[in-house]
Amino acid sequence: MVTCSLVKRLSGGKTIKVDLEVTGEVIKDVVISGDFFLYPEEYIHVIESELRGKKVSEVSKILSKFRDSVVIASASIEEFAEAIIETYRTCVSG
Amino acid sequence: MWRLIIDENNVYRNMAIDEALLILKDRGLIPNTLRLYVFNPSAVTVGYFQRISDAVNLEFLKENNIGFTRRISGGGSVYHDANGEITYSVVASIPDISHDILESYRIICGGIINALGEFGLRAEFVPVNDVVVGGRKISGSAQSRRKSALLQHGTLMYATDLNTLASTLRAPKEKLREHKVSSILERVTTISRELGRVVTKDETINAMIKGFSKALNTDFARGWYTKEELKLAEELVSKYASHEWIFQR
Repeated sequence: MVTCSLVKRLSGGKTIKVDLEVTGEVIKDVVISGDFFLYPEEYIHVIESELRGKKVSEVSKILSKFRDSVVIASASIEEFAEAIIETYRTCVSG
Repeated sequence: MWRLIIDENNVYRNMAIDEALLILKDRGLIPNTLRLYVFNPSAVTVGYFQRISDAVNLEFLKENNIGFTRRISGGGSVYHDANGEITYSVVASIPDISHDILESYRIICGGIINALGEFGLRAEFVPVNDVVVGGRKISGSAQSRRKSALLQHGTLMYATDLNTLASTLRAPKEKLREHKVSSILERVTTISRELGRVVTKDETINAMIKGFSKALNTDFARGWYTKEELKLAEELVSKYASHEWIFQR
């Protein structure tokens, strides 16, 4: 199991931090934190739990399901997906 | 005509009241309300999505006995100085402000810009949620929404002790870099600092009432909480004081 985290600026100026725990390509745990605005707020827990147990290659597909149900002020769900994938790359590159 | 409430509470009760207002507004049980309040004693709130240990200096808060909790709204960490900051809450029906989230931030932050105008200061709205004077942040806001109602709460610093603010809050270096500053201290200001004189709480409150009246195009009638609001707020206090809520991430 490997853990890694990454802090990134979103396009609208807010910050996202991804803490990732992976075994191979499988996400064991993920916490998406930061000073962004996502509506409805509680969906962050739904998104995180949807990602647990899934492969990193599925992240974009899983997050795109939330495109109509959540609104992120001045950023997009795709940016969240990119941040998670980028975090994974830092896991892999050590 | 909106209701205006001016009050002062500890951090848990302040956040419990805001949530109670949002819930009851969403149920259509209370009028649109502007709340102006003080955190007494001084305290810190963090955004819903923040990791507490990334957002605040826990050691400093503990050493200095400064209370803190998590908000229901997103955004960043805030130091609420009992003697230097007024917090506002706008609780309203969404159609009375705007369905568009960014537009509603702009409209409500207009109240702060107008209030600063009362002091002769030219302030600017920086999306999503900041108001700046001369490039320095003087006010930050955060909005939460339910089906038909919104709560936007935010700060206006009139005399905040900026050294304490800088000691209590943590900002990621990525964020400071983008603002081209090396510390939080360089990024923030207060009305007193901008004017070069000591500005009082009452002056600030009066300017905010005028500012929001213009921005929201309404008059205010001074009022107080209903029994139902107080009861619901009381029930919510324990959540805001709980370890589970504060340290959930």
